Amino acid sequence: MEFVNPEGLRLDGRRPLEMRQLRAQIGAVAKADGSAVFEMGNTKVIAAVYGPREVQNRSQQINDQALVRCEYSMANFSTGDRRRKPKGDRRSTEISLVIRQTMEACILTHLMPRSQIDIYVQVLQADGGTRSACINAATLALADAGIPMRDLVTSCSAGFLNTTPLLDLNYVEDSAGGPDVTVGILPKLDKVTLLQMDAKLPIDTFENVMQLAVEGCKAIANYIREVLLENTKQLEYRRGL
Amino acid sequence: MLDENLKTYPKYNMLIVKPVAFCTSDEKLQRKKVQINIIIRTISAKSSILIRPAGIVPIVTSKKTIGFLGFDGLKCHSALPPPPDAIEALNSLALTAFALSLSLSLSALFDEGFGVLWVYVFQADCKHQHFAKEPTFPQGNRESSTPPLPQLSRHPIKATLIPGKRSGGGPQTRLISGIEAEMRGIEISLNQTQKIRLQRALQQLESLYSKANFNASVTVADTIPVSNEDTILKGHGTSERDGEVVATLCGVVERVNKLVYVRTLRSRYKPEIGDIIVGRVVEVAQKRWKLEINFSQDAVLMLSSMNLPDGIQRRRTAVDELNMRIIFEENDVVCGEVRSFQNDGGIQLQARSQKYGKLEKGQLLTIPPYLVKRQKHHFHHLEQFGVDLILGCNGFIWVGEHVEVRESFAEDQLNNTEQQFTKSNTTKEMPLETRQNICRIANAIRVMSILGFNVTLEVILETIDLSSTLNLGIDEMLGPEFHVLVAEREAERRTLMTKRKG
Repeated sequence: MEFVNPEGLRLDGRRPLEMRQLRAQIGAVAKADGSAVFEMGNTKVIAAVYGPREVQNRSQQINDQALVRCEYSMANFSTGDRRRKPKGDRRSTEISLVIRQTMEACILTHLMPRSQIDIYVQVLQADGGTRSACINAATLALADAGIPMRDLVTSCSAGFLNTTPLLDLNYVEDSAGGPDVTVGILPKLDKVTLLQMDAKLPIDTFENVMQLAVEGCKAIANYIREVLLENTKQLEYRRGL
Repeated sequence: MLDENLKTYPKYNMLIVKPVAFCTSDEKLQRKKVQINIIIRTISAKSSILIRPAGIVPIVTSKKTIGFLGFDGLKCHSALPPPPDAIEALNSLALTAFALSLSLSLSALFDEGFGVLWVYVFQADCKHQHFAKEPTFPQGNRESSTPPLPQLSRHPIKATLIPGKRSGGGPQTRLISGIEAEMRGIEISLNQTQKIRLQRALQQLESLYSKANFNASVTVADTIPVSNEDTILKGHGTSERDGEVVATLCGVVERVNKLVYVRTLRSRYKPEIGDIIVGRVVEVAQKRWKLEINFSQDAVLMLSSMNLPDGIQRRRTAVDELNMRIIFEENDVVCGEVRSFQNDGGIQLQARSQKYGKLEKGQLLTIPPYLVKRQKHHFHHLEQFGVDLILGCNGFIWVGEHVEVRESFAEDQLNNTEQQFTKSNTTKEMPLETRQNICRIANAIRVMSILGFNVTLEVILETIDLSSTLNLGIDEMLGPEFHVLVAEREAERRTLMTKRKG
């Protein structure tokens, strides 16, 4: 199938190095300590953070740091065909784990001993790149909850189809079977916290593709930063003196 | 039908255009986040336009630009007549276009109230570079309604932002997101006038806020500027990286002498010794109660830091321990004071005075703790309502029926004390009026916390006054109109305050 046509446009009309439209909204869940909705094109994800709070299961309590938990789920209505998925299927447990590890790398857990932080992410609309969108949403929610972090984590995917590196794959491109590199970085520290690929790529191409994804992450980081700063200013001036 | 037509025509003849810059004449509409992908293809010479949304009139502006479509309602937008060579080009090519993929159909756009939609159509062989050289547009209305030029020298990666954000700073953009953020918590459905009024009130609040402080906001991993690094103390929410002070939280930078710290807004409660707090008992354990207080751990209230019901100072016995549930049970709401920090970071409470203890007959409200300021008095007796109001520093607020503080223990001892402690007030019915007052006060606080205003006694009373002068029912206080009114009132109040100061 032709994923990049001769005019250099992708199936959804983007150029290979173009990202989908981003949208972020903070404070979507009233009862949560922090929450956010994050959209990348048609992918839409909601994240809620509870905590740091008392550990629910005493045996899991860690005496010198916080316990981070994460639950990823997909809404039944999120995909084209409405399917009831079992709750703890392999895919979602794997993604939960990935998100948990990525977020744990940036949270300063030692500042909140004997407590637990719960991150719940749910996919409301799936159009490829849910993993990245979930991580971005979780970052926003954690920042909203006032949880100390080393840096914001942002994530973006990139692929390689028709001998062209493509940024931010959508569902059709994702299911083409080509390589899909998901990268999560700490933009200010310039460190990688997540790197996933389930295909083979020559090393030099891989470097290009990964560099592209990292660039995407940085663009997302700039956007998230802007949103957070705006939110802080809003809260501050409305609170008054 | 579309696909059929596509197949019949050879590819080289196709003209595909994507980067459709669009703009609207109306400021108000610009902020609407709409992404329109329009792919227009020239199929072949002399074929007619297959699909053409009503109102689109192809106009020719130059050679490079084959077609230049614009419409405003049904009127065509162009300041200059098309140059003759362009007309030639048009005729020879017989521009035929049809919109292939519209993520928003054009007719729907009209319904949305879109004024002008500009579509650039470029020839297929016309590469990007051409755009950069000299985008040709009608000269006349460049200021007013000329669409933005296609950006070609852009960064390879284009993150499309919400137009409102991208269209460059200014108070207007901030305001727009203000409305979005306004919806945090409860969704208030505002109509158009209410929205505008709220916007204006919030804008006023923003303008009152001192600009010096405004730039003190930081997000995670932002560098905090410090003049001389040797002599500063790094406080909460900061860390050091490569010799720079870096924020680990989102909030406002505060400087006290040498100390630099980040004050967070939305976060859990940060206890300080001496804070008066309200909490809920979650567990009765050995010699202690555990209280949920919106902190990262449950607080501990030791039996030994409670006044016993009989009021005598003595060692706590095993019998006292067994009778702990008489004093507080699970799910009771308790008021206390932060006594000390334990070495594991947990906190200990005390309730050694008659004003502390169990709270009954009232409502517990939870609001974000940053809205409660530490003050001299956190206990308030609102005599006109017969209501007690406790503003807990942890964001738990108690509104309940007024209880007389028992003056001396001697009195207590006279009537059977244990009985009094547990069943003191439960026998008497609360009058309806008091209950309504409690609800009114509680709703006033809810409105303020939704709007994100500081919750102080003064403002609460003003809000209640406002609601009763308007003759609003208690339930109507949570409606959109009252939110707007409170916001306007607050803006007025703060304006007055700053004037007085100045």
